Amino acid sequence: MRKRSPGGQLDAMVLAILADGPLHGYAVIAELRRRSDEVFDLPEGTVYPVLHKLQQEGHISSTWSDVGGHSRRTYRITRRGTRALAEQRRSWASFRTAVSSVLGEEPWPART
Amino acid sequence: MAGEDLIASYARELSTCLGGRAAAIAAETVDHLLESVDERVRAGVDRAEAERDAIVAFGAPSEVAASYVAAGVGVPTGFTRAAGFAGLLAAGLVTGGLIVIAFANIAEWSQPWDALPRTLWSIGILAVVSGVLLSAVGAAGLLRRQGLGSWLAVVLLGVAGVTALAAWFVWLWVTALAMGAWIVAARSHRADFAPRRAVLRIGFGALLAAVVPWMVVMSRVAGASILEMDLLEEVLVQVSVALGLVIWASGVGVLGWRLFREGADEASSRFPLTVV
Repeated sequence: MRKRSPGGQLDAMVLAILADGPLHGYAVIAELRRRSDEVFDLPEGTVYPVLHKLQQEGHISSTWSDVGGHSRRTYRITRRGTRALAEQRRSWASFRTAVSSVLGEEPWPART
Repeated sequence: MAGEDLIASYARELSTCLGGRAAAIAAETVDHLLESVDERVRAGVDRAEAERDAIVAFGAPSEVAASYVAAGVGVPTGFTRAAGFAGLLAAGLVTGGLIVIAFANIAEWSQPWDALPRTLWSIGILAVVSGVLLSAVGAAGLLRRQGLGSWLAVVLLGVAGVTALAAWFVWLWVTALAMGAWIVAARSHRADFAPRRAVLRIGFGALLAAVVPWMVVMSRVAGASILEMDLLEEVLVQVSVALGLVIWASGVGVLGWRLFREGADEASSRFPLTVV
């Protein structure tokens, strides 16, 4: 499958990955690559600004530890991040349904 | 070893591209690159080639730095550290100025014919004005550190400092102070950098300083009076402004210390730019 950029959904995907448990940056990138079946394979360094931005917004928090003589930062999702993720999932589901409807793959849910 | 130099020099170049003391970002980058190299070596790649591949996969320093800027991520810089120092000074000057003004009032009541009260009053007002002006610098640094921009807050705080010179227009400058402080607090309360309690102190302290003067102004406009005696109203205004400013200054001091200290800590041995 052709490699693509995650566009504006990278924040939500990072939150979704951290929702399953704390990870450090390298593991987040590896998990993103694995879950997307290598479709999302962007420069690894560009994911860290997303992590820092999410931390500034209070959606994730981080702690430092010493690993093999150097410092490692591990991220975990916060309650605010969990709520933001739920909202983004709802938003994405609605968007996906609308696009699929326009593309003719699925009918728009009938209003009853 | 050449490989350690390669990763360390990459991290240094990234810090340079970020234009600040990005020691924490550099440390995280080193950790990532080392793990990336180890994974490639385990896969059978030659170590020197693994290091080059890891750096290529991470991205060019300029590209990575640009993505930090695009994401609006702030980093500690010389300016933010100086702004932190300005915030510390601001807190000290405002608190000290209020104490001097209090002594001036006491001296005026006990010796109204003496020139000392007027001198103390002038010194106190000058200290408070200087402190509020410096807080505008501190606010700019705090917002810059969090990757936020709000020139309006900085302007309002500057206006507050200047109009404080016309000390009898209390309601004017405390209003500008309150608005500027609330903008900074509102922009900062969601951020991870600023401790929430300090942010709340800044916001509510400024609000407390503004509420009573406004109540007095509104009551006079309406032809009424909060208290029957003008003297008591004046005392009430002074006490509320002083109390509000002290609370505000305590928050400014905490944030100023955090900004100032971060620059020194980040560049210290906590994140040595060496590869082990």
